[in-house]
Amino acid sequence: MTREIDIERELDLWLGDGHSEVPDRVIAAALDQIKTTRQRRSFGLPRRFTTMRLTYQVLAVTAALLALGMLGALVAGASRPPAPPPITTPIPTAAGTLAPATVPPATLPPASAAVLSPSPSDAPTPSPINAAAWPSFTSQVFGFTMRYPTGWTLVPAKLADLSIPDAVDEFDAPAPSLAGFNVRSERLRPGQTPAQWSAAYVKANSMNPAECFPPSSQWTPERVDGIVGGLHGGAVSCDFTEVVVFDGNRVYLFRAVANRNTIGSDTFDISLLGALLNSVHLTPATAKDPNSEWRRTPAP
Amino acid sequence: VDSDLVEAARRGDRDAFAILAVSRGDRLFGVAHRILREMDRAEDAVQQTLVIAWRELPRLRDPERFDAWVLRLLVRLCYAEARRDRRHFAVVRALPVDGPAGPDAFTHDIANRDQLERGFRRLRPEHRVVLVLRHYVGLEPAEIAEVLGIPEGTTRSRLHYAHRAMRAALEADLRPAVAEGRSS
Repeated sequence: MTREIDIERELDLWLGDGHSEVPDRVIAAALDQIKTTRQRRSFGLPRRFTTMRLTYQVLAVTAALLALGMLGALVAGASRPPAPPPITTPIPTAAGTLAPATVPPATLPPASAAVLSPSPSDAPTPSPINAAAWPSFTSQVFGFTMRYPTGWTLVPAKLADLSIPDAVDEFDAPAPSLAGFNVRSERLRPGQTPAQWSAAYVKANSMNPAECFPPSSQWTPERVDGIVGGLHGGAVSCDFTEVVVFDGNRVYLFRAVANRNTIGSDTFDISLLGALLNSVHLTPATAKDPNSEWRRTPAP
Repeated sequence: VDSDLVEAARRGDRDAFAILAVSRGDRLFGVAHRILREMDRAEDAVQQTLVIAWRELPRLRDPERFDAWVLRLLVRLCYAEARRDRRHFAVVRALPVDGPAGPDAFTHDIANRDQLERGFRRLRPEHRVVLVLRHYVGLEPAEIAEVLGIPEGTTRSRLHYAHRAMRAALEADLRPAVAEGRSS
């Protein structure tokens, strides 16, 4: 005999049972912690910076670092004793052997290296990001190809994932970094314009800070595969930087996060994001969509 | 919403925030425990949520949205907890039964409760979340969408998927003979 299950009622009852009282020590620990936690009062970057195009941001940071470097050199030159002799540092070669290289001490790293390095605090890396050497990836689901940094973990969405609304092609930086990058795309509803989609998307995210989801008219123009899209997010409070691009009747969302596990910790390296986006090739004709249901698309 | 308390806490009043934390703690813990299925993880999530809420509170645009905003923070931390260690998702352990089973209360039957637990643990975090917000917090799909920052259609889709999966878990228990040999 088959018994008809009222699953909503069963879940009401089942989830209604169980622990619901937080131990006092949990609240006490949190309150103790906030005694030494300062509230955030202002955003890390001025609004006009976060709305710049990535290329302009790179140029602006480069110029600022150059200016700082020149200033530092002037100050150091005026007060510093004569420079010590160069230090010889072993550097690994492609053949796996160690070859000596001469590195003058107390020199500032090239400004471009400081900007392009995913971790500015690391030792200077004089070469720019070479995305051409990265492995390539072709999405089985979302209609694009791109390259991703060597050593990153790829978690691709599969055709079977189409029934899951949050499926993405995900790229995770190797530990200890918690940076991540993911891509998804979806068809617009019949008759829906990109402006309508964007408006609905912003509305659906109205609880985010205003600087993270401004109206699409305020998004920063950014090109992906030659198509001008919009960049938003990018402030520390957003915990993401996202570029939205429309190609035909399809919208692509490229989202970068600096830390997959916490909120408001840092911002994604903008030059790395630029390199990732520059490697993208959109192929909307190859994208797959569920037949019965529109995934994710906000109602117009 | 205690708007005055939220405003005071936004201005840095720790006592006001403490009142908010105490008054919201049980609900936040209830949500976290149901999503994560472990006391320790739920406690960690609540504690982290409160600290982040304090830190980010000046950036909350509308004090009236405090409860939904904190709930969103909690859910995001639950996702992070789930990502941090996926092993616990494979552990099957029924939640404790708080009261006596009624004669016609289907879910008070231990076997069915265990089936619900197993089915729930097989769900991805985003599907657990919508079930908890719907059936424990009592939010409507539009409200869930607002809390999670996702379209309402997505919320309904997730609910549909999660309900279907949970129903399948119970039906597998009710109809073992039929289910046997059938591919899922």
